[in-house]
Amino acid sequence: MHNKITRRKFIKWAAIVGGAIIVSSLFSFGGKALLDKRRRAKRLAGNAKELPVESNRWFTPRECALISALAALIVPTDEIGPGASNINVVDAIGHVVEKSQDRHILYRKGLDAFDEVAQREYDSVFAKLTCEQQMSILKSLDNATSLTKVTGGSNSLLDRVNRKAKKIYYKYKLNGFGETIDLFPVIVTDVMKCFYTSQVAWNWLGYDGPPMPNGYLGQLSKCEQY
Amino acid sequence: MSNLQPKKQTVDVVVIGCGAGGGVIAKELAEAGLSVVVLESGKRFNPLLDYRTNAQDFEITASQVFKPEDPRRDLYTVGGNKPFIYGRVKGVGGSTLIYLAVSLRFHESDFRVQSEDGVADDWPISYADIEPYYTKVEYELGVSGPDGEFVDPFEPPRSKPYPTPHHELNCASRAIKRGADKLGLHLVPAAVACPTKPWGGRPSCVECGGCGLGCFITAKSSIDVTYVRKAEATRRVDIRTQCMAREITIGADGKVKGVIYFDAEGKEQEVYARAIVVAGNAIETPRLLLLSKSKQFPNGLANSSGLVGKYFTRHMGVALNGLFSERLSSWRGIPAGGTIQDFYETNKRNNFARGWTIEINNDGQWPLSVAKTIYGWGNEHKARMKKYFGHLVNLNSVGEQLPDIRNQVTLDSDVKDHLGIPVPRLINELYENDRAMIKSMPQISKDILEAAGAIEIWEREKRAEGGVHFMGTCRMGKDPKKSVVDPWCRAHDVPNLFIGDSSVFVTGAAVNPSLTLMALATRTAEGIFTAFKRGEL
Repeated sequence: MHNKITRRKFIKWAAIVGGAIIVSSLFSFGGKALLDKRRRAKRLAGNAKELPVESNRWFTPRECALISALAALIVPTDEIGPGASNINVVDAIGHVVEKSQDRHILYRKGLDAFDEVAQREYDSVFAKLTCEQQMSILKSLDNATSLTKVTGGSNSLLDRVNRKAKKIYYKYKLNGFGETIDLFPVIVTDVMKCFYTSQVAWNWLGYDGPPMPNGYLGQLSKCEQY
Repeated sequence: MSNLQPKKQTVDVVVIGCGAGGGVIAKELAEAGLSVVVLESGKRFNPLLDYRTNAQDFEITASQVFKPEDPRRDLYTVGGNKPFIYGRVKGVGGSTLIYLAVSLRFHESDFRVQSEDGVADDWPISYADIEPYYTKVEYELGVSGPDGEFVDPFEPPRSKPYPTPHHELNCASRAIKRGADKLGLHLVPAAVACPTKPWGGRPSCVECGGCGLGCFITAKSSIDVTYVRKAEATRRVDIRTQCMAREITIGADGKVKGVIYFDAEGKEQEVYARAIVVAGNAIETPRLLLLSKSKQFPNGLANSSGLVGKYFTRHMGVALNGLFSERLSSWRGIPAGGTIQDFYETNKRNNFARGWTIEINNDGQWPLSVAKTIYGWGNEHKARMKKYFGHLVNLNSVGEQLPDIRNQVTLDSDVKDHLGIPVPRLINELYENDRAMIKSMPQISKDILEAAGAIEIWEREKRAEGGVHFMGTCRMGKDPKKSVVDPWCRAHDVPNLFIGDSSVFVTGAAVNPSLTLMALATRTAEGIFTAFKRGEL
C-alpha cells in the first residue's frame, strides 16, 4: 500500500500541532503572568515595609539608589556641564511625589518594575548595572513609550475609543516593561523640573533669574555684537 | 453696600464677571454714582502673597496659582475635528492677570471689512466713535507705546500720545529689528499696559518678563490693580468672589430683574438690579444667556435672532522659533518685545482677505520652559539645551479669523461643571479664507528671522488650536434680526440687559482684543449711565 500523506491527514496533523502550540503558549504565558503578578505583589508588599531614608518621606534606600541612577542618565553630568547628580535630586523628587497623589503609586510600582526588568535582562537590580546596561534598558523603554504615544484624530467617541484601544494594545505588546512605561515619561519630566529649577543649572546656563523682585531694568541693551 | 440684606437687595446694576469688561464697567458706573454688585466666579488674588515669580521654582509653581481647586469648574467640551484649548483665568481681574498686556488698537479698516474687502460684516460703529474711549483706557492703564524714533506708520490716528514712553528693546527684539529693517518692514516696540514710569500709585515696570505669571509688584496694569481698585474706592461697588451666575431672571414686563447665582459656599442666592451687564467672556456670556431660558425667551435670553453663541471667532496663531548664534538673553524685558503690522490690511494680490500682526513673544524663555520644548533626554537633550538656551526668539503671528456662523458656543447638556451647570461646547473650524491666510503667515516670519541672522528656524509644535482671544458670540449691529446687541451693547430684545465683553465684536481684527474690549466697555458704561439719567432704567 502506498504510504502517501493525504491532504486530509496533513490538515489534521497541522491542526493538532498548531493547537498544541497555541494551548501550551497560552498556558505558559498565563502561568508566567500569574507568577510574575504574585511575585510582584509579594515584592511590593515587602517594599512597603521598608523604612524610607531619613531625609525623605517617600523613598526607601533601594528606591533612592534607583532614582539617583535614573536621574544621572536623564540629565547626565558630562563634559558639557553639571547634571542631576550635582543636585539633591532624590529629595527634590521626593517633594514632588509627596505633593502629588497620582505619583505615589506610579513611582512605587514603576521603580519596582525597573528592577524587575533589570533582573530579567541582567540578573541584577537596576542601580547595580553598568552604565551601558542601564542605557540599553532606557533606550528600549524610550522606543517603547514613543509607540504608546498615540495622538491625532478628533475628539469623537470613535477616535477616542480607537486611541484607547491602540494604547492598550501597545501596552499589552510591551508587557515586558510593565509599569516602567508609565513611570519613565513622568520621571524624565520630574528630573528636568528639579534640575532646571536648581541654582546649579542656572549657573551653568547663565540664567540670572528668578524674574522678581529685581527684574532687568537698565540691563536690556547689553547685547553681544552680531 | 454692606448694610444691605444679601438676599433681598436691589442695586442699580449687577455686573457678571470682573475681567477686562466687567471691571471697567463697574468702575465707570460706580464713579458716576450708581450702586453696583459684581459677581465673579473666581477668587481674588493677592499679588504679593500669591504670585511666585520670586521663587527658585517659579516655573513650576507660579502658573499653578490660577488653576481651580476643583478642575470641574473649568470644564468644556469641543465639537469639530481637532482638540481646542479654551484658555482663561477666573478671578478678580480675569485673564488680564496673566495677559502679556499687549494694548494695540484696532485699525480703521477693522470696523468696515465688508465695505472695504467684501467679507464678513461692518461694525455699526466706526473707529472715530471708539477713539476717545481708547485714549481714556490707555490713560487709565498707563500704556507705554512707540514714540520718538519709533513711529508706527500703520497705527490708526490717535488724539493723544501714549501716556508713558516705550519699553527699551531687549537683545532678542533688536535682533529681529535688524531683520525687519533689512526687509524694509516696520518693527516698533509693542504698546503694552506696563507703564514705564510710576502710574496711578503703582511702580513702573522693572522689565522682569514675568507678565504671564502675574505681576508681583503690580506694575502690570491688570484690571484688579487698576479699575477694580478705583471701583472699590467709591464704596459703591460690592465684588462677590467665587459667585457663579447660573440664570438671569426676567419679569413680566420683559425686563431682566435679577441674577440667580451660587455663592462661595455653593448656596443659591439672587440679587436684583435695574440693569444687568453680562461680561463673562465670549464663551461664558453666551453660555449664561443660553442657560437663562424663560417663557418669553425659550431659546435663551436675548436670543430672538438665534445668534447668541454664533460667530465664535478667535485669532489664528502661528509661532516660529529662531535660533541665533549670539547670546540674546530673551527672558530679560517685557515678553511682548515688538510688533510688525506691514501685513495687517488686505493685500489684493493675496488669495485671502485681511491680515495679521507679527509680535515678538519672549514669554517662557526660562530654563525649564526651554527644556520642555526640546525633545528627548540624556546627553543629546542637554547639549541642545546649552545650544538653545538664551539664543532663541519666538515670532508669533496673530491672524484674523473671519467670523462664520458655523463656529459657535452651545450648551453641552451631557456634561456639567462642579455646580451642576451644563458646560459650554465649542466649535471653531478654519474655513477657506482662514486656511489661505494661515498658509502665508509662516513664510514672512521665516524671512524676517533669516534676514536677522537666525541659524535655525522652525515652527513651534502646536498641540491644539484655541488660545485666549475669543470674540463674536453676541455680535453688535443695528438690525435685531442679524445681531444680539445694538451699537451701545444693549440687547435688542431686553432694554435693561447689556453685554460688556468681546462677545459683541463683529469681527476679531488681528491684534490682541483687550484694549478694544475695555474701550467698548467704557463706552457701554457711558450708555448705561445716560440711560439711567434719562429714566430708561
